[in-house]
Amino acid sequence: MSAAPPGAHDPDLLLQIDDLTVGFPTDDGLVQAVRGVSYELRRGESLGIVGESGSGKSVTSLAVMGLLPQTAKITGSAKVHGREVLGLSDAAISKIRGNDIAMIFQDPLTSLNPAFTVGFQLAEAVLVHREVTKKEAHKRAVELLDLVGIPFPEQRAHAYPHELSGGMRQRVVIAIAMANNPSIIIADEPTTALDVTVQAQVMESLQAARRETGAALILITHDLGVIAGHVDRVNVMYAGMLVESGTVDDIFYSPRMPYSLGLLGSLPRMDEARHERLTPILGTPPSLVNMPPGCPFAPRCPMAEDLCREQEPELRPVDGGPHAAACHFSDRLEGASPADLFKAPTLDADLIADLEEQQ
Amino acid sequence: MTTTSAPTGTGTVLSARNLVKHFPVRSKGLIKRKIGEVHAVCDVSLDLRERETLGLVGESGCGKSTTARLLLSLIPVTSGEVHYQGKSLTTLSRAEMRPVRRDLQIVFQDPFASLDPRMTVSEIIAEPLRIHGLYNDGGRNKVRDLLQVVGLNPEHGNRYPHEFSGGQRQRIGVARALALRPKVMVLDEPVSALDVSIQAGVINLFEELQEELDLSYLFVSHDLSVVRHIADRVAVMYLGKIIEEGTTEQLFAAAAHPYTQALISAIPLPDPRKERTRQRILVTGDVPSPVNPPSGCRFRTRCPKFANQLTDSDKQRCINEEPVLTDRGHGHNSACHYAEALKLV
Amino acid sequence: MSDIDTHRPPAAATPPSPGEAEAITTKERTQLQLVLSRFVRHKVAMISLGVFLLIAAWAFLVPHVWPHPHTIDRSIPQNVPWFQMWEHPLGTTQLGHDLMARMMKATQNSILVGLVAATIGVTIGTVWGAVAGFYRGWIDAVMMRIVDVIIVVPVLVIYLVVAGSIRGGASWYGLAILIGLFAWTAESRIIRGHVMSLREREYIEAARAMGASDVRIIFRHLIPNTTSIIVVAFTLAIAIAIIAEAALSFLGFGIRPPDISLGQMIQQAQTAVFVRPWLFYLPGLMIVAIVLAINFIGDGLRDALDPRQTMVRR
Repeated sequence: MSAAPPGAHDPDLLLQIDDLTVGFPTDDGLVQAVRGVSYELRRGESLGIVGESGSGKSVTSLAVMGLLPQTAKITGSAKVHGREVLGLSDAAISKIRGNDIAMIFQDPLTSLNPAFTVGFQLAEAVLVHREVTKKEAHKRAVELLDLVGIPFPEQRAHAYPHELSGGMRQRVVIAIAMANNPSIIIADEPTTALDVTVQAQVMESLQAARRETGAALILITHDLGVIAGHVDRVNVMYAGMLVESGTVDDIFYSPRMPYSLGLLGSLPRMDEARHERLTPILGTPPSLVNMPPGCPFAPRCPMAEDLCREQEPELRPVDGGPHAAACHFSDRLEGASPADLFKAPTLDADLIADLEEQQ
Repeated sequence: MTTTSAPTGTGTVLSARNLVKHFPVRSKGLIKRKIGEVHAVCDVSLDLRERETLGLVGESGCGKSTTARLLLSLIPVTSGEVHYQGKSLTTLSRAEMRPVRRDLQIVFQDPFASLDPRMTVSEIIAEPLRIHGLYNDGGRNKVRDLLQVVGLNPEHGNRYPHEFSGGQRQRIGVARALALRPKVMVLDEPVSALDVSIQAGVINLFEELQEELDLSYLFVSHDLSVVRHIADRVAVMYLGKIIEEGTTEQLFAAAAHPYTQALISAIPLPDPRKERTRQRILVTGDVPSPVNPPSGCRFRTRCPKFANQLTDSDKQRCINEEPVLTDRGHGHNSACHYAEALKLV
Repeated sequence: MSDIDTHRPPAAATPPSPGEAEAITTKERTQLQLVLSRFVRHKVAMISLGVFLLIAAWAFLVPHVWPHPHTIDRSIPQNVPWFQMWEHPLGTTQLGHDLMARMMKATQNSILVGLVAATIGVTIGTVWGAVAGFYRGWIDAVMMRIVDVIIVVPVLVIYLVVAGSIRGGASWYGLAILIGLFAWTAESRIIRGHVMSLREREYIEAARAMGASDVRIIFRHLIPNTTSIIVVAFTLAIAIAIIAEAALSFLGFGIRPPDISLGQMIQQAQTAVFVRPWLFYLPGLMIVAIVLAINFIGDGLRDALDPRQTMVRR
């Protein structure tokens, strides 16, 4: 997509993932968690990756960060600043993790050391990257805590992780990420475990961190609402594949893949008065073991045809733009609303009558 | 809108008066002294009417699930009363309670924890029938019918829960709750653990069952989007108290309590343009410990209005005087001294 | 576009179409099958199971075709060392017992005592622990203090006193009952701990919400869910009971002649360790082999039953 000449690396291209596949051997066979994902992230950009559980959205970034278990089978390529990171030694990859990429997980306790105060851990991170005295590092630590919106940062710096609430811990993790001054922040479901009011605070801190460091963001979540408010570009994943990619407005206002459209139709909306019924996507995502040929969404897709069951569609540009969708019939979806495609099934009246009778 | 969503039957089925529940906090060690009390539910009164869905909303630790369990007498009350069809449940013995249980059922949040992993799906659904001695009377067919009603294949009845996905398990949980043909169902975060595309199907199932079987729902949830979609009336809880209640339309069109306003504005909308422009009311800090709730208004420690708009003398009232739920017209109650309606979505 | 009807499969004979809400994509496998497939992969446990089954088959089946009784047979040669005579492969005693026949009978008794004692012990321990864990509070306190008392009193002393007072010595089942009656304390503690966490699960709350009685909750929901622990505890209890039987018999309070047990054989041969080593070492090795095999089987079962190894679908 970029115009950079071959061989030379485009300095704005932070992360390049090319045909990445990840498989996990299990009792039932190889679970193909990621099946050929390619995308790139440019400087300053914010990219949302949305998908349901088991779609491979987290596994993709864990593979890049070298955080998958040894048994995982990984192929393809992932380049950070033009440098291949798949297959790097643990030591080499953890250096990248510390400097170029910061990761924020759902559970902040996984990234905090319970034995040290948060101020100490923050100051440590500052010291690694700056030639400053311990005192200055501590001052910067308090400053960072303030930046992520922690009240009374001076006192909180002396608290241990377990003494803080979940939302506060997550903000400490974000502050540490800021101290490392990364070029990429990967946030994997950063607010899923938190209450909504706290979630709003944490997302606010994340934005503050981006303003401060200018880092690009990859926000991985299942929550379309969070995606809508915080990213520029969205990748939709389903069954280990990217099925749609585009700007946030493309995805939300003119989705061209039935799955994305179905997701939007399944959402109860707080901003709309109660309408008749939601339009769910029927069925369940396919098992990632022994995937049948064809489009993985075909079994649940109301507009699936024989072609869909035979041939897996590739991610192709629609409308010539950066918007791309993996659907043989994406043109048919122009201007479609969820209700045009998905129908809410109704209960069988006979069955209910049976039930009543037996009572 | 208010007229269409108002319940058709207006009789109250289940009502709670001044419910209080304190859990003791005990010291560790051999002799467990009581060193404090968690004030989980403080003076909560609710009315669930026939064929209506009452949404009980709040963040974790606000006491909404405890309230639901008190209503079902699954845990004893510290004080207060629960009435079902005019009968007081709080004084009933376990044996006296058993027939009432047929009418009051519950669906749990976690579809992985709420089904006995050692029983087949048919056994799980037959269990309530067996307990009440109804299984011998055509129980097998009934179980098959129930599986079909909730959208599962009866052929799969002899499988174990671990073979089903989250949405399917939740449907099994619904079938089990339906087996005794209850009149009231408490739905405790029934869709929070499910993926979006699966969640919608389960929500629809609840709505259709309600229409067909004249059920009343107490829908406990932290997700205001789901509540707006499914509920007729909503009660918002904060730190063990109901701080605002009204019809769904009243609440979303004119939220009066600062906490409700903050809650509504914190829910992200799946609509990028609206997200960019909407008004936000952010609260600071975390929910205080229910062992030691703040004096006066319990929300004042996080209240944006308290922090930014009130004068010091106004603040004194929040600190000293606990606001009571007062009607602001048409049954829209809120517990704030300085309530002011705001439309946020 | 056909209307997809989720709620009723079109006809019983056709396979469910994939669009249905109930579509299941993995092949049906019961929990037993899952456990077995994991157990089979545990090599040491599989070998141990083979060894144990061989020993059991030998001890219970071969006597039917073996020409010699386990009692004294004046017609056979005495003091034959092991591996000298085809007729008496394990040798004979100075009194004229065929050691092979004696070993088989003694192994039979050991296994029987182990099984019966473990069954009794685990049954008591399970019910005791489940009741204590379910009710908690003072019921739990009283029940667990009783357990503490039993643990503090040296069980061997109880065995000696009771077994010693049985005139003419205990039969194998008498001994088994005796051992079983006191060998459940560890099980009850493990089960209690497990039940205490299980009782907070939502499916137990669900049973309560349905109006299930305490007895039903304990026996239909709680105890079945401790199966994995019970199975492992059972194997360990067998091993412990076999050792207890051997110890009692060795001290002369267990199974007495003319019946026979491995412990008793060792006791009788202890003066002849150097003169007739086969009389001493063979029963000793047999005890070690059985106990080790059972312990490894227990290990394998524990791993196989560990739910964390289950592949859970979403």
